[in-house]
Amino acid sequence: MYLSCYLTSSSQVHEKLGLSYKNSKELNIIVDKLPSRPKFHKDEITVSGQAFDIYHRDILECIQSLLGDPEFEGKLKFAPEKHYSGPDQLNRVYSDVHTGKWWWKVQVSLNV
Amino acid sequence: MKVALEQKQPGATVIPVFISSDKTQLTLFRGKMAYPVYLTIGNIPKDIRRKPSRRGQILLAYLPTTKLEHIDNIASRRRALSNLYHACVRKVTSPLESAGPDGFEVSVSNGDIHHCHPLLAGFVSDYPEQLLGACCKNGTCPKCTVPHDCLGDGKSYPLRDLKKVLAALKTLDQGPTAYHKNCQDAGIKPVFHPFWENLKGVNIFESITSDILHQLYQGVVKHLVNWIKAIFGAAEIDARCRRLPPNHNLRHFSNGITTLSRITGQEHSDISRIILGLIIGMKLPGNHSPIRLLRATRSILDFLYLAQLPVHTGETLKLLQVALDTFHDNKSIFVDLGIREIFNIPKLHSLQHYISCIENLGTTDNYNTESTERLHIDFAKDAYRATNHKDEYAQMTLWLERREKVLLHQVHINHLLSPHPMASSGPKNLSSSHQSPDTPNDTQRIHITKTPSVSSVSFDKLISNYGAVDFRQALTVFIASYKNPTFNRTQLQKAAYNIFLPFQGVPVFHKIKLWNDDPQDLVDGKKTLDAIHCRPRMESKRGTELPARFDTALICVSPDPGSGVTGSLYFL
Repeated sequence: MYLSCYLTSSSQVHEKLGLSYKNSKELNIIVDKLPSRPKFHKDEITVSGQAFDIYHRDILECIQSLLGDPEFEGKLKFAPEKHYSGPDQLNRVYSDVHTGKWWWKVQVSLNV
Repeated sequence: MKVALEQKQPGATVIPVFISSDKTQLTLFRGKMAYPVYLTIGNIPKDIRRKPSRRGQILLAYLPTTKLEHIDNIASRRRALSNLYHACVRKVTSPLESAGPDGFEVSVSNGDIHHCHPLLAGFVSDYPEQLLGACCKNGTCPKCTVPHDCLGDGKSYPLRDLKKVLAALKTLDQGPTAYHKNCQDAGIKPVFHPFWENLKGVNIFESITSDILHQLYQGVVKHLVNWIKAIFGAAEIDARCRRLPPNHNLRHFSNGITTLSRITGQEHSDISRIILGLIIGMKLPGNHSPIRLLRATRSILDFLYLAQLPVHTGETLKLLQVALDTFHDNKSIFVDLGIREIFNIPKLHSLQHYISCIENLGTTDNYNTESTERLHIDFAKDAYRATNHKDEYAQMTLWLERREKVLLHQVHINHLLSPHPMASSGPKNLSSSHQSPDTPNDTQRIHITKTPSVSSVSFDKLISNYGAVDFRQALTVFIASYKNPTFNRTQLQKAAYNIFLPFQGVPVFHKIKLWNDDPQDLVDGKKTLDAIHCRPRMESKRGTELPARFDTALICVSPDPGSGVTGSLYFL
């Protein structure tokens, strides 16, 4: 209680606490300077004579930011694989996307 | 130059793009909606992708949620809505039209530069959105050419012909009448430039993914429960639900299952655990044999659980097909009982596509809509609550950007604070990482409270309140066998007779918890929890009476493998 009175009455709180911002507005300005995922753009789509707002991000930038995310480092898959349950290679095992047939098929068609 | 390079040194990296869109309610009463579109890529392993906290999914767009009420004619309103949807998604996905076949350079997190080809692999959504995305008519299959009246026959049909559809879409210049006719011949709706029209190498009909939540739990299981309800009557089913003994892994429906409204996926999952137990041993009206009903129910449940396996092999996929075939062989019981006449249900037909979908894009946990429903909370509902509810999208997107920045910064700081991975490689660190105290090696852990629930219960009370009639004898035999492990049974009985217990009561624990590890460790170390209760009737603090609860537990006491209980399966 005393503390909150003290905090509200004093205008120098941020200095005493050693903060680099005075209020939420200044904090937001600092936050806005941080690197981020892609920005949203506002666009208008016109259908049957009426305009509608759509908020979207650039899909390629999104893919770039997912691939470049340091949190996924070393965990990403870049090539399709065929998994088998035994050495005779008769029984395929399916789990993640890269073990499926789609990726293999697309990879082959791209490399031809 | 690039083409020549590709041929010499094939190094194209495929980026399987998964797009999911789903409308969601923002407010409880005013019917405010949001229409988020999410993006994720198949390069990220599925265990990361499905955790919202790891942020493997990214919010791609908010689509307009208008219902176009100013258009009076319902048919033209519907057409305008699908045109609007495709115009918006095309706006968002149009960079893929050139980047897909040509590729673009991306630097990934370890610093390598890949030549990436982002291609739409999966379109994750519920049935109405699948129809909207694939421009298909209501009551048809968005993937294949099955005729409407054959939806329930359990046969496979060829996929929709993308070439034919694209050829029909090319005839837009010939005027609306010809365009409508060509589209109708190709089996699609006459939509103005669908978003996948110019995505090369993408077959939208193949990309539409199967979906456990809407197709199985909220689809086939829901129908099955309703049929069973219609056969036996709500009163009998509810009475059976109430009589089920409580169990830690079963939800106890004390009001029955027929009174529930707006049943969630989780509730359907709880119902499907007990539904087979509910109907076993019940007589069918009209003296029909219950065997077909049991087989049909069992096969649906088999399909449901097999479809959710985190890893599939050719053999388990065969089992999946067997389960589906068994259902179709036995579904005639519902016709004979007069519950259903035909099975023209699109969701029932959608089960045909599970096997090909798993073979193409991996197991169903790669693309279930359950995880996107969870994302709505972060990306739509929380964002909406942070606004002043006026002109909300501008505020929501700003709020999301800032939140992502803070979270990204947090990851960065954690990364800086954590010791460098290269520095921690030493014999000491290696041994500590192998045997951390949090992960004991034994597969089963038992948890029990520090102090007993009741500090002392006399042997007489044990008999009267707990029903432990032979406790004193059992305890003396146990002590005797502990002292003399080599004794046979007669010797033990004799030795036990001579043991004097210098106390009149024992402390009692009312609950014991057991954690069972996943033996294959497939679902990221997930453990199943079991609890055994043993509690006499008692009064709660508020004076209400709590009924006694004694669980039945089958415990394997012999350490050698193969011992235990052998079960046999009756009439299934």
